[in-house]
Amino acid sequence: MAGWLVLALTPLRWRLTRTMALYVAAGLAVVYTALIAVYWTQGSGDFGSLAGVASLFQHPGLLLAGWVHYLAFDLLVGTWEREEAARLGMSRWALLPCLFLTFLFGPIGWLAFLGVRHFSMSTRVAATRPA
Amino acid sequence: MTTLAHPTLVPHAVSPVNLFAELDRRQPHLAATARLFLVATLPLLLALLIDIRTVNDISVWVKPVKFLVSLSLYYATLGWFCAYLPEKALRGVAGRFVIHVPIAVGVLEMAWLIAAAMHGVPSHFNTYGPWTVAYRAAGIGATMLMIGVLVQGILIARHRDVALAPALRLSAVLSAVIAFATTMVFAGYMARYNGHWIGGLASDAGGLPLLGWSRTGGDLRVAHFWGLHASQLLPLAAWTLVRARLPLATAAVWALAIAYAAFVVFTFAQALSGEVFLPGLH
Repeated sequence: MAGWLVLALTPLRWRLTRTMALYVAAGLAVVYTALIAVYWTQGSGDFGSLAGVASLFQHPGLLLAGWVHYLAFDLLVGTWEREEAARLGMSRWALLPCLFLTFLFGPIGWLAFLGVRHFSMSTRVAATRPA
Repeated sequence: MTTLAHPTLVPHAVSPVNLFAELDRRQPHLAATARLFLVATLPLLLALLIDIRTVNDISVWVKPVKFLVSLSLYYATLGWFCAYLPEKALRGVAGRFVIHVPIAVGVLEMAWLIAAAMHGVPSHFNTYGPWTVAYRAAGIGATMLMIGVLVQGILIARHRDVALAPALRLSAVLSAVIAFATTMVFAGYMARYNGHWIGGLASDAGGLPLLGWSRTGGDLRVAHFWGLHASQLLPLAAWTLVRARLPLATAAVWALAIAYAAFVVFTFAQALSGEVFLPGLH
């Protein structure tokens, strides 16, 4: 959560923000690794079928690991969105809703960002076109 | 030309902060592996905190963590001594063997230890089903690790074109021979004995802090530990002697090496007779 606030609120030019977000993501990845190391052999199920996945997540340890997985990768995607926005000089107001959606519904936020990025590029093309 | 410029003739002090930078300069692959193995302890230490499963009455994660630290030291030492070899020796078949085979073998070795911990089963001495195959393969791997040390020692003895204090070179060669010989004999004995406790309780609970050696009887791991870590301790002692510019450093290194080898053999004999290492310690 703190990682997300930093991503959303600090100036887009700050390099330190990216470093901090990556450290938070790395920390989550370490936690995930530990959880998988401990619980992977204790659950039953697999990724071969929906029933298999449901059975995996019956185990609280693996359920927690799954949640940490979301948190880590959503944060990484958010970091990438910010990076792209800074690189292309996009507005913070275009980025913010995408970050929010990525935080809540990972893939939807990513798709939204791709859409916003596409739109932002098109306005730039329109601006440079001779009248 | 290189004789004047080379920093290892009289070793300079290295602060712990600069240690990895210095290692990177000496052998980047081994330095990277040493660093990665150390970082890999982080998730495993966390696993140690949350996992309630045990092998020999202690957490299943204690052993992988100990091996990661020990191997990290091993790679750091191997990389450190690469600076004692000329470029042409490192580029040869033996030189490339010293760098690449131990890295590949060590990664496989750790994969096995971590897989065993994940399954909550013993790694060494585990002769249940497919684990037997892994245990046998690990024996070959461990032998490769020690052959790496020996080959490097032989290379350092043969290639003398890098300027180096004679006592330091001697310590690198002698420690390689001692580490190889003692580890082969003691680890080989453990494999045939099919365990490491002699007399005493067959449990790791209540062992010596950090090292985990038995406090109730003999433990063959004591001699194994001191034997293979001769690679670090003897050269460190020699380095201190050379830094202090003491006279007769070479003779002192010989004496130290002989005394050290005797000490390692003593700890082995001690374990064989079922006696505790450091019996005076409570």
